[in-house]
Amino acid sequence: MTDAETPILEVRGLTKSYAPRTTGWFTKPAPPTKVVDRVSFEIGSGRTLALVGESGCGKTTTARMILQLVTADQGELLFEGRPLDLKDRNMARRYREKVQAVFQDPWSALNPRMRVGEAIAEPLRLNTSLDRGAIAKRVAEVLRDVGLDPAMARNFPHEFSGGQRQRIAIARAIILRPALIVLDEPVSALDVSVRLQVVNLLVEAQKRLGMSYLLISHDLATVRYQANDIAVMYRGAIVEDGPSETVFETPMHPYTQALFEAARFVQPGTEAESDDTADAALPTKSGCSFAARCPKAFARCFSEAPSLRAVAPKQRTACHLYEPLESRAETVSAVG
Amino acid sequence: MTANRYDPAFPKQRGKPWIALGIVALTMVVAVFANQLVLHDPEAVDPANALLPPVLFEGGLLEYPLGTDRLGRDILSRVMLGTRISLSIAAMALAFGGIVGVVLGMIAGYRGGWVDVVIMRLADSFLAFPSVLIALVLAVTIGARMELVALVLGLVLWARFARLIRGEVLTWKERDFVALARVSGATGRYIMIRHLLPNVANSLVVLATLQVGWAIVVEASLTFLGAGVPPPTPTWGGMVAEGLDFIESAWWISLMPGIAILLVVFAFNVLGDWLRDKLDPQLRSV
Repeated sequence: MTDAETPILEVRGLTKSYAPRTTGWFTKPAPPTKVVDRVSFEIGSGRTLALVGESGCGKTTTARMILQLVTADQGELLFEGRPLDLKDRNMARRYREKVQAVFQDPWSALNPRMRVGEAIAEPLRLNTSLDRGAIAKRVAEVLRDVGLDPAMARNFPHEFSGGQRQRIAIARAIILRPALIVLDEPVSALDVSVRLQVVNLLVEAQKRLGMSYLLISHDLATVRYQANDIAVMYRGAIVEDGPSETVFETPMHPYTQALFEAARFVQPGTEAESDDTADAALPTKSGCSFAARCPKAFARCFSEAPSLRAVAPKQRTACHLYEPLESRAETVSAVG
Repeated sequence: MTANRYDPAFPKQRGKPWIALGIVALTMVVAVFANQLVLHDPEAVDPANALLPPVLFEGGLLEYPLGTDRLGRDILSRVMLGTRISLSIAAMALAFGGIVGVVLGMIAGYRGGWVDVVIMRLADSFLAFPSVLIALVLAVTIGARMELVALVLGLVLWARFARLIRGEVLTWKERDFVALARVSGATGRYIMIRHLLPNVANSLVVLATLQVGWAIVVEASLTFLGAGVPPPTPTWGGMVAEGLDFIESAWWISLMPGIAILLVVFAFNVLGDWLRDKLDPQLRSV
């Protein structure tokens, strides 16, 4: 199998743009909007990478591209070190088996006409040839794993609360013992009182089963608690990434700083998003997409887009305020 | 308590539709057991008792409770056997239209894109279909047959089903459980059968019930015009047509099958309305 060094999933230059709806026959179609722009990151085996950022920054689209629900315009995925090729049937199969998802809305995640036992068993039925008895046994196991009564497999979704439904969604996601679960805002829709329980369930399941998580969230408290690594997205691009602790301790990008600052003044549980200027401040044609909102912007920010580069040993940011590590090294060596 | 969806001024108006249910049940029984239940052979001619009025009128006989037609055939027996014909045609038309409509509507809604456009434009053109005219042309060219009537009805019905199902699928397919099934490797076929079909089943039942009445009326109209089921098979539409010549003297020949049509169509529509409110409050415009 893969050794610990190979990331379970590597994302390279994922890009997606949507053409705006044409408004009339004679109006010129507007140029497509880039929703996700050359996003790259990797998720280590058994680790949790958190993708954070305000609504509409492209987090969910990125997740949906990884889940093959949205086709990427450009970019590639490396699964267990190999480029993902869905035409390779074995590989596609393995990917479907090893990558599962939990979404935000527990009311939409379950088919109201399907018994929860069947919903949980679905990945198993689609990907293995186990007989009914074996499937029922596995369903009972995972239900116990997520803290629900195995007898509940016969019930329909409307008999469960939001927290219970999210547990069911998690049971379904872990039934195939996946390598990676994409968690798209897994607790945002839940009551504050049950959020921690579900987060703990996720943490505990990860410890036991050794899965990796891609955690998409705007709840920074949960992210800090759960994530090993963090990537901050703004307007479709990653502006900063690094180990969670480092980024929380020393956020470098002004957007990250603003995001963390905003979260500090917001009650935990409510959305830590600044939506007032997000759409109003259009990005400059060239230059940094955050420049118009950035308190530290200077001339260069409006003319030249910064690229994401290492600015500290493990931390990368896309901001002109910081010298890239290599150039600093060059300067040092030139002087020496 | 939850808000009442109905006019609070008429709280009692919305009980279970017992009368409609009773009529529908009776219709079904008569349709299935018509041969066993009839008092006379519906095609047996009895010239001595031709044009007898219903039993309560002067000259009526208990033997012929609803009277006889110009050949002395028992109208009650003919109406009963006509029930079978009417319901069979409605059932055939609904089965054909329902299956085709559900399959195409699902594909259109789920696949979207050009597939959707092609199917739905096709549906639009079939809805604009002059069914009576087509049935007349077919009756003249191929000959009037029961199956042809069902086919013509089905050609219109599938489009109604397709429209409804497509609309429903459009909302259901956006649910996360569909995306999750895809993540787990489900095919489009699996999703349509396992996830979408059970969720549109309610609307399907409602639409089918409401369309029974329509099918019966159109079948009767076609037969009345001579483009439907040919005589001597007793059908409601055909009986109304036959009675037209005697409408002033022997009004019962046309009136009795007319009442049958009225009652059955009324019952199915009431039942459909009730089911709609019961199962699917969103479906108001059908």
